[in-house]
Amino acid sequence: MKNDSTVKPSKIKKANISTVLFIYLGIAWACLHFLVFWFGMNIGTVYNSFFTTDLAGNLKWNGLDSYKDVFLYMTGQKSNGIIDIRSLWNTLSILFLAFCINLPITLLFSYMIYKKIRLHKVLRVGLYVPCVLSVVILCLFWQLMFSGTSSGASLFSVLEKLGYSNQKVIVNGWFMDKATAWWGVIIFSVWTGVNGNIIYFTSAMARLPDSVVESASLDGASEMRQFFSIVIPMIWPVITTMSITLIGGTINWFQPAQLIIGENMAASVGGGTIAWIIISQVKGGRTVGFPAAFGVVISIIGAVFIVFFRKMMEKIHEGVEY
Amino acid sequence: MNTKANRIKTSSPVDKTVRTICFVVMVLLCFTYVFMYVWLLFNSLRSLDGYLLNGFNLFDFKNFTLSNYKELFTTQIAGSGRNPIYITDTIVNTVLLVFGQVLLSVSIPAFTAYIIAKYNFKLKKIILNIAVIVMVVPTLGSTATTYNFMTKLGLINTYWGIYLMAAGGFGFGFLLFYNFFAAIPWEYAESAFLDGASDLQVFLKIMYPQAVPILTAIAITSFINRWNDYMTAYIYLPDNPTIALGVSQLYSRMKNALTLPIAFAGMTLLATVSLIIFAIFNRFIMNNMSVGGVKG
Repeated sequence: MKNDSTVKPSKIKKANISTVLFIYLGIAWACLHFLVFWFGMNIGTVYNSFFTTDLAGNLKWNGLDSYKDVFLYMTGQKSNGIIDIRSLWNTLSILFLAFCINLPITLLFSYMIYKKIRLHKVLRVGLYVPCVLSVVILCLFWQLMFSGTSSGASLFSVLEKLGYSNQKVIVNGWFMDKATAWWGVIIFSVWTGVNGNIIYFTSAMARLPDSVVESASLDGASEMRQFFSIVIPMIWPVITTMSITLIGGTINWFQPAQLIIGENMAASVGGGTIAWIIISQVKGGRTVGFPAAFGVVISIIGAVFIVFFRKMMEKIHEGVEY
Repeated sequence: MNTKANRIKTSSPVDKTVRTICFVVMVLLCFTYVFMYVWLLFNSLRSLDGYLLNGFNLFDFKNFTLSNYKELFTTQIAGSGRNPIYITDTIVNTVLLVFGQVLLSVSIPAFTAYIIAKYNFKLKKIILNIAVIVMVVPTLGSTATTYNFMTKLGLINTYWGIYLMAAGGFGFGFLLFYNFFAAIPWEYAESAFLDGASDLQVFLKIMYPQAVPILTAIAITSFINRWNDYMTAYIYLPDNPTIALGVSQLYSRMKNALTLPIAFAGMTLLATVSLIIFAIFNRFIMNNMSVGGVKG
């Protein structure tokens, strides 16, 4: 019963009843937990998506009406507070940001640390600080700094002294205006998002065989050439794994928007996200019908996207082994 | 990391430019993070008047006071008049939840991962696929049903509800433990089996102790994550807030009451615990979190 890759079990010990019991009892709790909290909850979500509740709280068949609502809201034909197509675009903008800005910058920073840039040890620790702090601190500090002078201490008061003159922004800050609120959140996401995976990328780079990097260097390949032609392809599996966690993180992403913009302003400044829609429904006591249907749609789209993404990533740099 | 190649300095202008730009940006980013903490700490030590006069006059050491911290521990931050919640309540909640969840994070995934990494059995492939599926399908979709389920079980606002949800065997911790155990040679266990040890004894006395470095790294990061966790409490513990949720509620109250320095004291407290843990264990975390390699 032991793993073939490490030992031939017959030579050591026959698969007796105690080993079988050890295996199946050992994984029983994990499987049960999965069946209840993953499988059961997802099946329950699909089930609940076809119902609604009447005034007495009883389930009432609703057919595909909740899915129709999801379609109407997500195509901009219907809108109610943050349940709006803007929330979908906001989530997509965070996804775009994560892949096109945060991920490349993180990789570049990791490479610089790997290449022992000046103060690399200090920078490695320093850049990890946002991962150690609660999102509450980061968001509330950001909100304070960019809320405008009407709310108290603000960086805009400093910028005003340095010559910045847009009084509307100086007084009200970024988060009261539809034109600037989401940009404020986007910049926050860059500020806190370019460092999370540095620890994994630098570790992956540290495991690269010395001979490969050394010979490239001796052949005259520049640092950037090494980065694109050797380092990136060789740590591609790690990039793929961390990218998948990025997608999952983006789908669940709502806390910064909620903490920075606030529940009261979210709809008027267009600061919702798809995760926030579901959470706000749940907090409002609505767990059947629309939130369930919306959850089903998000889960299916998310899972399909992740699977295709993984396959695509695997095709880009196939079979890199070291 | 100490290869010749790493130490060879290239003279390409592009390389130099990239290095310089990266260095400047990285230093600036680090500076902003340090500034954030210093700003919160120093303003938490200032009087309300001083803060309102100039929020950036941080080095007003003569007028520093601990009154905001006294207020922090005596101010109701959430709850009702009959059932007030103070910062100490949130700290107790958080500590109890953190320790329970940390224990779960280094026990159940480790045991599950060990069995799957080291034994061949009929359901192995299916369970490995389950472990992947759990990581692929977003949990957000089923939040509404999970909340409904927890409500029906009477587990909202209870520690047991949070422990139960955190007691899964799969996820990121599983992946790290799986890679770790898969890489450990089985020879260690062979002699123990020959000496008559049971499977459980081999796991507990031989294999699990070898995982102490990665286990500690997971425990520390799990501690920091749980200490900082806002979302779980926001959804499932609205009436028993953890410190992260409590501080956000305190901030809202103090903002409305125009007494923000008290909220800064709460934010500083929340941040300081994480930073102290990180300062003590940062080298350990950095060296061990990728043991076994996170591969695709």
